[in-house]
Order: sequence, then structure tokens, then C-alpha cells
Amino acid sequence: MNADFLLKIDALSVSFGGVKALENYKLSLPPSRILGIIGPNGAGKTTLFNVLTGFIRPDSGHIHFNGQEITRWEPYQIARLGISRSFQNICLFGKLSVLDNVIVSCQIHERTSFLSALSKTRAYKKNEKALREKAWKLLCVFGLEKHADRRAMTLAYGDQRRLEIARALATAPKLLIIDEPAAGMNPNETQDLLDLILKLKEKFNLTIVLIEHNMNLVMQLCEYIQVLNYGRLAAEGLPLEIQQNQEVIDAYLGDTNNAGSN
Amino acid sequence: MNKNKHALYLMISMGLFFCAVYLLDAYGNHYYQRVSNLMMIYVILTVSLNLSNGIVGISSLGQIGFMSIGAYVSAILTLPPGLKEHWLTGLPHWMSTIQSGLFPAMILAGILAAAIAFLVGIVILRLQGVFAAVTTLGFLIIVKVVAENWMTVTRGGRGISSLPTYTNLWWTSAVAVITVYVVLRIIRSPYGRSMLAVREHDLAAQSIGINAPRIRLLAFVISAFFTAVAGALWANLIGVVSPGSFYLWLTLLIIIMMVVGGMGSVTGSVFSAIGFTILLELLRGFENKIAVYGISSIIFAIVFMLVIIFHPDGVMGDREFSWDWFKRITPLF
Ligand SMILES: Nc1ncnc2c1ncn2[C@@H]1O[C@H](COP(=O)(O)OP(=O)(O)OP(=O)(O)O)[C@@H](O)[C@H]1O
Ligand SMILES: [Mg+2]
Repeated sequence: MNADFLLKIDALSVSFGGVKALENYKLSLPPSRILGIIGPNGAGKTTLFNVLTGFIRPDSGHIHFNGQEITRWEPYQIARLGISRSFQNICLFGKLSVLDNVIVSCQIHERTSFLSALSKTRAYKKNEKALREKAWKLLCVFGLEKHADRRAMTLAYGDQRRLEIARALATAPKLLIIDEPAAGMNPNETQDLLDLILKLKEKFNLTIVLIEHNMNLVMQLCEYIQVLNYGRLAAEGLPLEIQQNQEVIDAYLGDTNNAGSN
Repeated sequence: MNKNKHALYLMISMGLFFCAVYLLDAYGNHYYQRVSNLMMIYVILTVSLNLSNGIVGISSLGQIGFMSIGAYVSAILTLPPGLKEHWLTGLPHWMSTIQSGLFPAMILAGILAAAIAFLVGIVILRLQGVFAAVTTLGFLIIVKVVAENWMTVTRGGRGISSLPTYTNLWWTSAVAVITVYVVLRIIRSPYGRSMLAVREHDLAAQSIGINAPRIRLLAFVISAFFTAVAGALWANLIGVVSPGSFYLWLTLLIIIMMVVGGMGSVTGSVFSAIGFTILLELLRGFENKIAVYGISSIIFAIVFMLVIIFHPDGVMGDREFSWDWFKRITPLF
């Protein structure tokens, strides 16, 4: 079913105690698009990502990915199926090296037997080397290779954000979802990030869902935008439509002069 | 190439190590043999504990419970049949007529403890931090209570004595080397990287396809296996097992050894276990000489506190010994 859509979400609702974080949310996302999700703080954006990646069980609703229902799957199963994410609050493996952060993610589709690891068979060593090289290449795409041996927690903030995306990409996902990648970045870094995301999308043939408060970035990058407010879809459409939607301007964008300053 | 050189260094140090084992085993006096055997057993225990608590980050206080299981399994298997029929009346008949050697006893001890760790782990490893600490401590207590009360199999509080003392320095040092090798190989394999990732950030690890509960269970089970093997060695070294031997003192001792060596550092655990065994023996001699009893425990505690104050991550942190680092601190090399 839904062969035209990579991701299809129906009537998704999540509540925490009395708070309705998501209510009757819907999405039909064809492959190779970039979708932007915007909305004020507490609108339910991150909650949507958490449900999508299996960290939170929804109260009701269905999620189909690549033709399969994944609604109540475990996070690791969803990751193996091809959805990978970055976190709003950076969640790296702080004490591991930058390279190891990516290697451990690269190995997602490997099935190493315990005995071959203990006996260091030739195939095992070859495999390990291939993993390292794959991870190294990915670091090069992000310009992080010069920090490969440093512990991830010692990286500068912007580098940490990019390492999170690199780690997410190392699982070779079909769908990449990134939560506020530009948070805390200056305009130069934000511009670089924009170029990087476009490059990644081409290079790895990705579908991307992006949460972002920076309107400049969203409007330039996204082909389609959804606006969340109090857990409900307040509007959706093309970037131009969203920019001109009076309700959205009132609820969220506010003074257009300020758009993008956050 | 550096790598070949390091392999050579490693072979030389292993050669020296086993030469020392040979000399001690053939010509050493009983006291030195006993202390060296204990030292190797502590190395096995500390490295195993580090796998569960340091590498994958389970706050387990119950590992010595697996040592107890291993020691009792080995005791029951290796006790001479005459004594078994007399003391352990609860054993099935076929078991009371056989007497096993050390090696099968060790392996069976390890496997049984691993199986128990698997069952216990399924329940406990859903919990983390303080909750895991409390429940694993509960496990340790249960093991002790069972050992104290299952009279017809464990002989209760009197313990099982007159065990054949099969254990010698060859056994303990070989098992210690194997344990260190296996744990190091695990850490450097995809399994080990997953374990470290789970320790560093559980949710992020799951988000890249790691089945975190399963990885934790794996580390817990392997740790229990080697801990139980150490228990079997211990039983056939001392010749007596009793419930109180495997309890809070040993738990505390091994945790201190691990923390001082550095949680997450296998080689740190090795050095720390060796260092503390020597320190404890020196202190004991000192205590007997000046006849101020208890002073050794106080000094031991002070050493522990000083290390933790000045090196909160332990002496080695989560780094491993490397020859490059060794060269840097020993300029004559
Ligand atoms: N695990 C949780 N437990 C309880 N309440 C939660 C949880 N996660 C989110 N919430 C609540 O759900 C609502 C939506 O939160 P969410 O994090 O999804 O917002 P957001 O749109 O990502 O906001 P921001 O832009 O600040 O990141 C908020 O009211 C929040 O307090
Ligand atoms: Mg959020």
C-alpha cells in the first residue's frame, strides 16, 4: 500500500497526562523531498520525531514507512529499517572518539559473529577495515576528519551538531529527520549547513524532515512545510503559501521582519 | 613498522610472565604461590566486573553472587564421592558418585552462572542506575541466603571443606590471560563499540540500531561466566567454600580495584588488582608486626580515598595501556 509515499502518518495522537502533545496529525510524504516542520515552543514537533523513531508510543494512529506499518516498533528496529535522526539536545557518545561515533553507527547492518571477533578471522579484519574507511569517508564529507581522534565531547558546538548528522547518516537511512540543526549557529554556519544538507540529499538520495526555528533556512531549504500549534496541524503548504498565510503569521511568524532572527 | 614491534614487545612480556609463573610454581614457597594465585583471581574478577559496570555501564553490585555460584558448583563437582554421600544428601545419586576434575568443573560453573545471569538479567537490566544497584545487591543477598539454607546441597553455614586443591598458578594465570584477551577483543569488536555507545548514551545508541537491552544482557552474561570461573578456581585453591566468603567484603574489594584502575580500562583493572593484592599483603604483614589490628583496613581505605580525590576517573581513566604511552613515561626504554 501507499507505494507513492515513503512515509504516511494517519490520525496520530499523543498525550502526556493531560497535555495533548499531538492531536490527529497527518502526513503523506513522497520520497526525495525535504519537509519542514515549524511551530512555537511546545507545539509537539520533537514529540512527533520521538513517535516516529519509536521512543514514544502513540495513543492512537498509524505510521507506515516504505509500505510497512511501524507504529509500535522498537527504536532499534526502526533505525534498521531506514529512519535515522539527530537530537535537539545533542546526544553524542561523548567519551568515544569522533571516528568511533560514526563507526558504531556504520556497523548497523553488519552481522559479526562472536567467534570471528574473538579469533580475528581474515574476513573479520577486512570487515573492520572497511567499516573504518566508510566512517572516515563520511567524516570527510562533513569536514570532521581532522578531529577524528578527539573525544566527541571536546568538539566545538557546531561540529558536534554536524557529527550528529554524520552519525545519523552512517546508518544509511532512507529518511533522515533532523531536529533544529541550526540551533545556536551563527549566520555563516547556518549557510554552510544549508549547503551541506542539500549536498547530502543529492549524494545519499535522502528524504529529509527538518524541524527548525530559523525561517530563512526553512524557507530556502524545504519544498513543503507543516505548521504545528498546540499539537495540531495549523497549516501546511508550499513555502510561499505558508509565508502568506495570515493565521500562521499571527500564530507564529509574527512580524515578518523578525522572521529568521531566532 | 610499529605494529610488529608492539607484537614483539607483547610476546616478550608474555614470555617473561610465564617464565615467572614457571619459576614460582616450581620453586616458590607456599606463601608466594598463594598470594600470586589470589592476585590472578582478583584480576579475573576485576576485569569481569569492569565489563559489566565499566564498559557497558550496568551498576551491578551482585557480581560476587556469580562467583559464589561458580565456587559452589565447582565444590559440589570436585568433592570426593565418599564425602558427598555423607554431607550432600540432597544431590541426585549419579552426582554423588562422580568426581570431576578442575577444568570441567570450571566450565560448568561458568555456564550455569551465565544461564542464571541471563534469567536475572532479563528482569534486572530493564532497570538502570540506582535501581539496578539495589536489585543486583538483592541478588547477592539471595544467593547467600540460599547457600546458607540449602543444607542438603551446600551444607549451609558450615560450608563444604576438604575440596581437592587442584588450582595452581598455571590455571589461574592462564585463565587470567584468557579473560583479559577475550574482554579486550570484545571491546575492540562491533559488540564492544555497541557496549560503549550504550554506556555513553542509551537512547542515541538505540537510534542507530543498537538493541540496548540485549547488548547489556550480553555483557552481563559474559561477565558472570568469567566471575564464576574465578569462583571455581578460588574454591579449589582454598579448599573450602562457605556462604560468607562471597559477600560484601569481596564485593567492595573488587569494586574498589575496578574504580581505582579506571572504569572502562581493562588494563587499568589488571594493574589495580595486582597493586592492591600486594598492598593488602604488605599491610597485613605490617599489621601483624606492630600488632595494631585494623590499621591495614584504615590505610587501605585512605589509599582508595586519595586516588579518588586526585584521580576521580581512576588511575587509567578509560584509556588502555599502550606501548607508546609506556615509552613516554619510561624514558630509558
Ligand atoms: N516525555 C515527555 N513527558 C511529558 N511531557 C512531554 C514530554 N515530551 C514533551 N512533552 C510535552 O509535550 C509538549 C510538546 O513538546 P515538544 O518537545 O514536542 O515541543 P517542540 O515543538 O519540540 O518544542 P521546542 O520548539 O521547544 O523544541 C510540551 O508541552 C512538552 O512539555
Ligand atoms: Mg523540540
